[in-house]
Amino acid sequence: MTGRNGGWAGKLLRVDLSTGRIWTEPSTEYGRKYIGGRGIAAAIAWNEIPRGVGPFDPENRIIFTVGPLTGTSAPNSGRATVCSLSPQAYPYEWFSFSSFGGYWGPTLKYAGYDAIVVQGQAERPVYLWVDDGKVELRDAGELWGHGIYATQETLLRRHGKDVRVLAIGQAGENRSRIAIIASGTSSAAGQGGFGAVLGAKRLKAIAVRGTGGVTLADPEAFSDCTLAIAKEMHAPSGCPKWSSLDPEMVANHGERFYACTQQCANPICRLSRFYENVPGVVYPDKKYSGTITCESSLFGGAPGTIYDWKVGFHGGFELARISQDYGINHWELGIGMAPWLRKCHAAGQLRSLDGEPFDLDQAACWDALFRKIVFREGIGDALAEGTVRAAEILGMGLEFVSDFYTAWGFAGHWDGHGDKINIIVFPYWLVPALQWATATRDPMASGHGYAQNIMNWSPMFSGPDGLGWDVIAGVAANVYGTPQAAHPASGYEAKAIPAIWHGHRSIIKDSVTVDDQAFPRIYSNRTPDHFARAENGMPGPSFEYHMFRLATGMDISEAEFEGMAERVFNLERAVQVRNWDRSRRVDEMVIPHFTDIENWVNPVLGEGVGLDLQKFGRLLDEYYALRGWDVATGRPTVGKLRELGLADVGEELARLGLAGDSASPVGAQEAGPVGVG
Amino acid sequence: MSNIAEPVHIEWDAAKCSNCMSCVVVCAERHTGTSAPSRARIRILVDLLLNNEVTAHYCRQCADAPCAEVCPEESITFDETLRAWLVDSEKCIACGACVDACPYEAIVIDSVTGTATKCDLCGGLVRCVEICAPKALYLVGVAAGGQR
Repeated sequence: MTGRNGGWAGKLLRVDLSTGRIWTEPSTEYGRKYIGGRGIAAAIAWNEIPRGVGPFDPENRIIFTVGPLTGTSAPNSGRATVCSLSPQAYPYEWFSFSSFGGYWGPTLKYAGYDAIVVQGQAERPVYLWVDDGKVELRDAGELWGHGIYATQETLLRRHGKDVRVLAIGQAGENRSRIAIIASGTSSAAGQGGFGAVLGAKRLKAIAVRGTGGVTLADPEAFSDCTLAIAKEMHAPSGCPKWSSLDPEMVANHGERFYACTQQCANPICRLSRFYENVPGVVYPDKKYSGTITCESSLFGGAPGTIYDWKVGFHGGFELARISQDYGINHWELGIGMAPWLRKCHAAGQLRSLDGEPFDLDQAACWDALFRKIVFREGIGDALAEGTVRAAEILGMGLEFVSDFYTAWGFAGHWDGHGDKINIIVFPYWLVPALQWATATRDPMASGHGYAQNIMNWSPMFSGPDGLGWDVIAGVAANVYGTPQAAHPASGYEAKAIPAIWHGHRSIIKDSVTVDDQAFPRIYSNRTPDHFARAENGMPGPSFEYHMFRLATGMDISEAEFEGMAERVFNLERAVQVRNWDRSRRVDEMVIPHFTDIENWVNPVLGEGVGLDLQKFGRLLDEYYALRGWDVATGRPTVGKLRELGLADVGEELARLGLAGDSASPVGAQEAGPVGVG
Repeated sequence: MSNIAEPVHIEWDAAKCSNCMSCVVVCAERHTGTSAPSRARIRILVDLLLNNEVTAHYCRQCADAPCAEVCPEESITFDETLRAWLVDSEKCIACGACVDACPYEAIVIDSVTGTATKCDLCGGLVRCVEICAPKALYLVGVAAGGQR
C-alpha cells in the first residue's frame, strides 16, 4: 500500500432539468460508506426521494452511477448502474435498479464522475453533453422522435466518435413502462422501464467524452491482482460449456465473439456475438450489424421452446435491432409478452390486432406490433404499459400472466416456474424464491450467482463436463458454511444463508461495478477440489474484495467489506419501508407463484414439487432472523440499522412507526404465509 | 542496424479481438499508474456505430525504426535484452518528429509527462498479451527456444 486513495473519481455530477442548474458534489465519502454504484444511489434515494413521489414526477431522481472498479483493469468492470423509481414495477412503482455494459460507464469515470444525478423536468427535449469537466444541457428538438441508433449517430457526428452516448428511443419518449435506456450496439438498462423516466424528464440522451483515468491506490499490486483474476476466468475454467462460432455464420455474417462489457475477461460465453450485414426480412433492402447478447439471442431462434419467435435468424436479428432502436425491453418482449400473446391467441382471446388479421410467426407482424407499442396505437397503448398492466387494461389473458410472470411486474427468471428455459430444480429455486420475495424487480440481474452457477455446473446441464452434485455441495460449503446450502437432497435446510450472501454480492457487483455473469467466482475445472482460486491461491469469492482494497486503498477486512454491502441492502430496504410500507406481507406476495409444481424434476428426488407453505414460512423466519430484522414484519430494527452505521435511518423509521420490533419472537408473525394472495 | 537481434513485437488479430479494451487499460495502469486509456501505448478504437470498424494502434518494433531514425537527440535506442526500441525520457525533447515518422501511430507524446512514449514490452511480462482472453494479441519474433 502506498497510502494513496484511488478507485473513486471523487465527484457527483448533479443536474436539475427544471432550472437548468448543473453542479458537482464531492463523492468519495459516499463511496467509503456505500461502495459506489447502487450504494451511492440508495443513499441519494433515502435523502432525496420522499414518500409519495412517483416515477414520472419531477422530484424523482434518476441516478447513473459507476463504482471504484469501473474503468480499471478489473475483469468485467465496464458496467454502469441506473437507479430510479420504476415505472415497470408492479403493483408498487418503487425505487429499483438496472445496469448496462459497453463503454459508457468507464467513459463517465474517465470524465471524472462517480455518478450523474438527474432531477426535475425540462420544458423542452434536451440532452446532456459531458465533455470531461465541461457540462451543458443542449436542445434535443431534432433528436426527439428518433431511435436510439440514429440519436447516437447524430451525437457522435456532432461531438466526435470517441464520445459514448446513452439514449432513449421513441418508447421512452412515449413513457412506455417497458422502455429501455441504451448505449452502443446492444447495451441496455432494460428492466425497470427507466427509459420512460427519462422520457418524462424530456432528457433524450447523455453524451460523454472522458479523456482522464482512474487513480489507483496501489497500481502495481492492483494490476497484478486483476491479471491473476482474469487468468482464472479465461477459458476453460469459467463455465463448463463452451460455445464455438458457426463457420457458416463466420463466412456469411462475420460472426465473432464480442465483449458486451468493457474489460470482459472471457468473451467466449454462450451468447455474446457480433454480426455484420445480416439481411432484413421485413425490410429486405436493409442490412443490419450489431450484437446478440443474452435474451436477444432468443429472437434469432430458441427452437423447441415456448420462446421461439419462429422467424428465423435473419428475421429475429432484424426484430432485435428494430426493438432496440425503438427502445423496448428485450427481456419483457421475449420472456413475457411474446409467449403471453401466443397463449392468448391459442386460447382464442386475441383474434385480431385492432381489426387486422395477424400471424405471430411472421417477422412483419411483430414489426407492426412494436410500432403500435412504441407509438401507443390501438392495442399497443395497453401493451406499452407492460404485460402485467396490459392484461388488466385489456381484460385479456389474465389467467396466463402468472404462467410467465413471477412478481413485481417482471417475467420469470431462474425461478423454476415462470422461466421456462433455464433449467432449475427443487431445492435450488428456493434461494431465488427468497431473492424474489425481498426484491424490487427480477433479482437475477445481479443475482445469478447461486441458481445459474449451480445448475450450469450440474450434471443436469453440463453432463460429463459439469461437476457431480456432491462436488457442487462440497465446493458450496466453502462459501455458505455448509454443504446443505447446495445439496440436491437438502430441501429447505440452509437456504437463507445463500439468499443473504448473494443478496450482498448483488450489491457489491452493482456497486463496484462488475458483471453478474462473471462474479462471484465459486466453481472451477482448474483446481483439484473444484473451488475457484487464482494461481496465487486467492479464493474466487474474495476477488471483488481484493480488487476493491487495492484500488481504493481502504484498509478494511473482507468481513467489513461484506458489511458495506449489508449496509446498502438494509438502506434499500429502509427506502422500501419508508416510501411503500414494505413488509413481510408484501414479500409474501411472491408465494402463490411458487406453489405450482416446478417445470423440471430433480433427478435425485425423482418427483416434481411446488413450494410448501409451512416450510417456506419457516424459511422466511430464518431469513429475517439472520438479517437481524423483525421476523413478524420483515423490517429492519433500529438496533440493526445502528449496528450498520445507519442510526439516523433507524431513528427516522422509528419516528414514522415503521421500524422493526427487535423484541418480536420467531414465529409470532401477524399472519403466516398460508392463504396469502 | 543489420547486426541487431531480431525485434520482438506484439501483433493483433482483428478477427479474434472482442473489443474489451483490457489490453489498453492494463497498459495504462502498468505505465502510468492510472487506468487512463488516453495514456496507453496500445490503443483500440471501437467505432461500431458510425463505421462498423475496430482499429488498433501498436508498435511493431520495426527493424529500421523510423522513430529512432528521425530523433534529433538519439533518444530512441534498441535494447538488445528486451529486443525492443525504448525511449530515454531524459533525452527526449518532445519535438514530435517520431510521432510524425511512425506509420502506425504507435508513439505519442504523453499528456502528463510531456515526453515521447511507446511500447517497451513491459520490460518483460507483456501485460496486454497476458490479459487478452481471446488471444487476439500475441508476440511475434519470440525465439524458438522459448526465450522471452
